[in-house]
Amino acid sequence: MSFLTPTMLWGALAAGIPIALHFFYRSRYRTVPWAAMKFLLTSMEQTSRRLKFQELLLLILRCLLLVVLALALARPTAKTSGSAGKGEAIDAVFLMDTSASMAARDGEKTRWERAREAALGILDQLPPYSTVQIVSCSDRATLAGPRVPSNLDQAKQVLDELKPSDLTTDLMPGAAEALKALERGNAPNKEVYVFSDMQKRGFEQQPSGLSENLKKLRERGMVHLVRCGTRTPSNVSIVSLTPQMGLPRAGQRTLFTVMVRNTGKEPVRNVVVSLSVNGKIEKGDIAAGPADGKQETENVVGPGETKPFAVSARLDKAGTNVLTARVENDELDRDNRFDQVIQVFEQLRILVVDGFVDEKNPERSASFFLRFAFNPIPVEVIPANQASAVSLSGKDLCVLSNVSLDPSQNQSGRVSERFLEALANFVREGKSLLIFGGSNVKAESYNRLLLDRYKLLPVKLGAAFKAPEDKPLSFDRNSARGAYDRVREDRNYQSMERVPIMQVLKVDEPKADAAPRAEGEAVEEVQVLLRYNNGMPAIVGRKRATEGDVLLFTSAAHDEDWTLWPLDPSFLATIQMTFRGLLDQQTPLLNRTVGEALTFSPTGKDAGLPFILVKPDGKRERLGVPQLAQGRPLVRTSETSMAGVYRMTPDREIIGEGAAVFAVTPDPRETEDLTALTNAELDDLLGFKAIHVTAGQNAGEWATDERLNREWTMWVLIVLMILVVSETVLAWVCGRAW
Amino acid sequence: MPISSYLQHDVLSRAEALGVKARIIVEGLRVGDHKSPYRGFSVEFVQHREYVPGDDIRHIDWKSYGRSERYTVKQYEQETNFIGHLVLDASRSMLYGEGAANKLEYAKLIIASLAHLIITQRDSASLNIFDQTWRTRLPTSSQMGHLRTILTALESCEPKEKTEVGNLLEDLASTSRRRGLVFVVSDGLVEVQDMLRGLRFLRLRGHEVTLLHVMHNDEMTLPFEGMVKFDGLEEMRHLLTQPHMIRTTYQRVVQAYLKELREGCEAMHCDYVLLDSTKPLGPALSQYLAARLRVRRI
Repeated sequence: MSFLTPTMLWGALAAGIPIALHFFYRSRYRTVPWAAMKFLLTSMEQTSRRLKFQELLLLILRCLLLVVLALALARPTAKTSGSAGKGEAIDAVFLMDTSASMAARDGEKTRWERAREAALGILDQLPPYSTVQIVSCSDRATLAGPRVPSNLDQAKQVLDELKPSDLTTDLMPGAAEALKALERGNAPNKEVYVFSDMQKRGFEQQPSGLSENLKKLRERGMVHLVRCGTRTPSNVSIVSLTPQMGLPRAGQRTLFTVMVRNTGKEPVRNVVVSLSVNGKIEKGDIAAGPADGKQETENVVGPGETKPFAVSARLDKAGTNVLTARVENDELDRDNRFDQVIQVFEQLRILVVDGFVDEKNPERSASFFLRFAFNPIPVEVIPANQASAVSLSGKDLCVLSNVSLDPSQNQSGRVSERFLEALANFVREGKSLLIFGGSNVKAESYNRLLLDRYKLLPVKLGAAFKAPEDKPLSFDRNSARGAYDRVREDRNYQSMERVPIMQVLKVDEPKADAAPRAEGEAVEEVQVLLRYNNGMPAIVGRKRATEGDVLLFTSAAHDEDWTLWPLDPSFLATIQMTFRGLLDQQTPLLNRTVGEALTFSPTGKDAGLPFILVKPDGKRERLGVPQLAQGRPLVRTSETSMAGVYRMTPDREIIGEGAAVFAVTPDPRETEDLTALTNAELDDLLGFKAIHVTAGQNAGEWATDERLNREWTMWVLIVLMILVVSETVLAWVCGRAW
Repeated sequence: MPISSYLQHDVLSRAEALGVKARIIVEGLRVGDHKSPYRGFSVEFVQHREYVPGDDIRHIDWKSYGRSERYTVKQYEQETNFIGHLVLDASRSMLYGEGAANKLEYAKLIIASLAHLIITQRDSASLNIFDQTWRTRLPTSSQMGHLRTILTALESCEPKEKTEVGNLLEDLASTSRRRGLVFVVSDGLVEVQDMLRGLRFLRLRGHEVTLLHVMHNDEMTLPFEGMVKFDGLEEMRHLLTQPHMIRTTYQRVVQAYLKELREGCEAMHCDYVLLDSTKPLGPALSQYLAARLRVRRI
């Protein structure tokens, strides 16, 4: 039990008043000379016991009355603290779960609509002079308003404007924000309402932090958990959209695989998947073909099942295209749309710089196997000594195969420094570089030029390592990481484990904690993507923001003395995969998950223009002039909260020209498990018994009832009234005021 | 209080109008308005009776003998005056009451009125003032000057000790040889049985006894409010109480006491008159005297 106005308990000291009055009145008498003393004595003898009893009873009753009065004024409640009685002003904080799952349909309404109605109902029932602060919370929290907490009309407006985002659920930041908001309030009575579907994920992301914050909230006020969902919705979500083969080419119909997962608890029937290309954008200023690849497939996806749906689309436009896959027939549509930006190539051009050209025995040339591996993409092979800046022009990928950088070496296998300079610019422009090892690759010259001077090499090279003849190295498929994840599972790569590798280049292991970089130097991520069975790196990749990727293969692509891998089918598959990954390297920056920020590095005169961001809902946000970061102009948005297609465009007369298109997909983690926690599970998790309510039609009334029931003042007043009546009757019967 | 104030004009006028008539025949030394039990030579013939040896032959009615030849004796009713014994309780308990409502003053007024009535009828009156003992005893006299003596004695009377009534009334009964009227004016704050014992002695002596019981209204109703400390007038003790809490019981006790006293008096054929000192004496005294005349006893 606690008290809303505990200071009033001091009033219980007034219980001493009747006692004081008793003695006061005894000391304040008048003297009467009296003759008939014997009658008085007889009367008193006859009545003294009864009188004393009545006197004591009255005294106790009066003391009790004052104590109960003080108790009633102190307004006892059933809760420990911060609880309000009916009619008492309240500082309320509404923690609105705006995660994607709140958009799920639940009967005739969505969970969000239920939450909003419940919140509005509570707002209407708040006692006068109450304040409210609304915190919107997904995996991040913001104080949504109102600007003036006591302005409840403004709070209603905030509730009307607030919409569920596409972000995932994590109530911890929301609870922390709610705590701050609660502490800003001045009223002694505080109430926190968490409007959520009670999705498991929201409570299990940071359970200890959330529990701690909610406990703090509970210490300061009443915590109500308003359940806005009554059941787990049926849901299918699109988890990926990938071309089935090779790289999408302009003018060709390409087959895509749309992976659809049922994250609900019931099978979803009549699943319809459709695909559109530039579905929204081509109607605007950017010239693009209409959506034409709609295919509908009826099917059943069982609970927990992930099912591929094949859909095709014709890609008319080379360059950046936005594919939009949609799935229907479930109760949560937030993850039913999946946008993806893909690069469509009209004509790809690859430059292979051959450091060992053998015209007599072409199969011994360093470019021989690569030429076939890139098929059907036309490859331009050029001897190392002929490589120049011009040869890089118009190329999408450059491959250095057994190229020498050592001036003391044979002139034919060596590239000029001017080429290296052009190559550095080539990578800086976002084009990719592939480096293969070989006998011409000398650690000293590579480290000096490619690593130190042009900063192209991912790691420092060491001397060549020769495996014992009887025990050659092989690839360790399980070590595959990043873009090579597929190697671990795909059968096409099984033979890699049997390929003998005799020589490799030693390289330093990339440091997990890179040393602080100089200002303006790009932040890079160096990762060993594949290893040999002795743990040495086989493929090392380097990613730099706004730059092209660089991949280093520590073995050779041609030399039988180094490896027989080029003869293995897995070589072809690996090169194809590498190639696709490298060419499509820009799309990861364009394909983001909701919650991430969008970055774009404009080139040319656009770099000096202010940029605007056009959001999926058509709203615009000014981003300002690109700022120099890592030596390049960079436009950066705030974190996205909405899935869909974003366009970042210079703020000039023709909207869309020079725009960067971003596809932001819903966070798949949000709908992975839509299970809601039960009330008992919530209490267990939080470590205290919260007030559980289900949002319903009589929103707000239960809050008032609960407030009323929580306060015991009414009962205490009834007791007080009984005491007053008893006192009055007893005083009347006893015939005494005091 | 000055002497004349005890003889209030309105009181006396009403009392005189009604007259003080003795209900029973009292002995008197003087021929007055009151009938004497003694038969003798007088003006008012009563009856004839047979002559018996021993009768004075002077009382033989010779005319009757001439007519009937039988000796008869004439009997006359002798009229005489009476003695009124006025007994005043002057104990400290009589001090209660303010001004005219003071019990002692009220009692003095009663005594003065009665004395005046008796003496102006040429009857004799004696005054006896007591507390624990006799403080003042004036002999019987019918002289008008005696009235002044009585009034002077009343004036000089101050309340002193406790009340001791039983023995004193017994003493009065034993010392007054002739039967008469005894008026006892007291607040009666003694043991009822003691009071009744004293009255019984008087009755046994043949006196017609009237107890004029003077009580203040406060003593009968206990009208006080709040906390009151009662200081005993006769007893040196104090009682602190809230009168309203014991009022009902008190009134019950008082009524029981009055009832016992009244019934005791009635049993002995004593007149009992309860007088409220807060009320005017005139109407109360007139009412009492009227009642006496209505209930004339032989």
